[in-house]
Amino acid sequence: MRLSTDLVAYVSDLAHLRLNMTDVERIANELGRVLDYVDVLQAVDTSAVDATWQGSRGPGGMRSDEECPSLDPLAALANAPAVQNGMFRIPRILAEGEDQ
Amino acid sequence: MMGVPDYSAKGLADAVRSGQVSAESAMIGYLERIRATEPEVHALLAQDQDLALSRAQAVDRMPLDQRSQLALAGVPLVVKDNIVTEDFPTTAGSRMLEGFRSPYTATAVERAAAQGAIVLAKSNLDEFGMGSSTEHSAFGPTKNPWDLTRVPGGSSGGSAAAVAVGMAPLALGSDTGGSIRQPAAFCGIVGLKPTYGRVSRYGLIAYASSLDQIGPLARTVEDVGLLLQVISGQDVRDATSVENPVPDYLAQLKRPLEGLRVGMPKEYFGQGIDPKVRSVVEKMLDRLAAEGVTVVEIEMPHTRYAIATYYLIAPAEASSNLSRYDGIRYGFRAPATDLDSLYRNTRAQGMGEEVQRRILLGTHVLSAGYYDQYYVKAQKVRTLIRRDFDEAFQTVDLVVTPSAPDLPFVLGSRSDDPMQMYLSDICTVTANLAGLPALSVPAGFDDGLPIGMQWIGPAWSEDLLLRAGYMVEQMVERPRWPLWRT
Repeated sequence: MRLSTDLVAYVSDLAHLRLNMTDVERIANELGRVLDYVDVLQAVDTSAVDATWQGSRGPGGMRSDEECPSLDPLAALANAPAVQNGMFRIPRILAEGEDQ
Repeated sequence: MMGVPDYSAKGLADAVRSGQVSAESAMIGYLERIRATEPEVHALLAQDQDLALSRAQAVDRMPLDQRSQLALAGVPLVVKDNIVTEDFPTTAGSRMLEGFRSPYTATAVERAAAQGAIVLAKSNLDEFGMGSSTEHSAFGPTKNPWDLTRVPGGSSGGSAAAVAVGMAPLALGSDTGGSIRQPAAFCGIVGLKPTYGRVSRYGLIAYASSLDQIGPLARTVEDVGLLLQVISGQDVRDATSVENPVPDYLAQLKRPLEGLRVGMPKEYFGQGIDPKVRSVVEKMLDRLAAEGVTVVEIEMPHTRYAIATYYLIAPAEASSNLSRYDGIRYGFRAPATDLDSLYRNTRAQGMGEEVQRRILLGTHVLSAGYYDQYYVKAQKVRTLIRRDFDEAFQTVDLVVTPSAPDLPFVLGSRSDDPMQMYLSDICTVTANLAGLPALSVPAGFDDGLPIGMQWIGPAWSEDLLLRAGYMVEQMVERPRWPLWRT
């Protein structure tokens, strides 16, 4: 089952990944093959089976809700591609005049 | 002198503790070994020789009463590059994190360092842990030291190759679907994926959070137990770490396992398993039977659904976890004039093909209209896979399988076929889906290539797995370690 290119374009939009048309064609085939394979699960009767959402095999501990030191702002900014006035710098999100 | 890399971690720590060997002289030997082998193997992504030497000197300068308390005194450690470290860059094998320097260090690394281990390098991996061959690293593949034309397995292929070739006696890896055990098998060493919650995931760059565990790789079962001992235990910084007490893994290690009952699931010995692999594992089981181990054939009927289940759950979790790479707070940023293009260009240019494939697959199976059909269904089949194990452990102590369905494959031979690469994980994904501990130990060699056998146990049975692995280790005739020329 090959996925439609429209569906791949929709999913890449959700995933915030820019794909060119060659990529979309390739992904449509590759994901189609994987989805064909995983269809084997549809034959399993799971009507009376609960889902397993967690990996855990034992009780996790909850720490006490106390204030403790967090990451220093300068350390948090140290890896940022662009910084301005102690903040992460990003491109404009409003057009000229919209931010008045 | 016998050559430093012939030390086990245990032997080296004993010698450094007593002052018989200086940590500095040992470190010089390992650094020389790296210089001699790294150009061919490419196991490492970052190293800091000056730092490693100064740390070794600091261990030597410690007062004897302090040094004698350190379980890993002066032992060099390689850390997979998806485990964060303040002293080294951390890339996760991705251009997305090229140059990234973490402001904190992972708990497992902190715990090892507190016991005297010295991180000397970060190791190569499939990008973000997504792969079974280390060919998906953005920084080039690692080669298998036993045959440089073949893959070392993955995703912890750099850690496994580094240990096999003697760059360090110990390494940390991570295992989401077999990423410690399969490379350990392909490189002829020992690797253990702990029970989910045994080792803190704090500082492990998340791939699929309900499956990921950090674990040890070493040349011997005893060394794997030694490192596991140090990194295990609850951590307040990881809410999924469990407060079960950590037993002394080495205390009973060498005691024979009398009356052990081992289950051999027929589903892991049939179609899709290379006859050479099957033969080596079956011969080892025959030898164990001759030593008094009871081997019984068992059925685990949902094994056939494991790869499908895994390749729905893991990409779904990955698509959520990797949404944090947006070009804003850290890592790579592509040029763009508006925010939306910045996200899309950054993620498309910063992440490799396999990572993008898994993000798209995961996004699709979580999207409206497909969520129940794929994601919920897979989580339900996961319950059935867990039940197969719970039922098996009613009648047997441990389950044995091959660690991988085939021998180390030739570089490039599977990179064009994602589905064929995914099937490489058939023997290992079930332990992750069920949250169980599993150990890969060499069972023999075929034409100079190592073959591993996998032991899977009930939750928290790492001590039993190590004892079983030790028993196998005593029976295997091992060729000389690879690339040993000096």
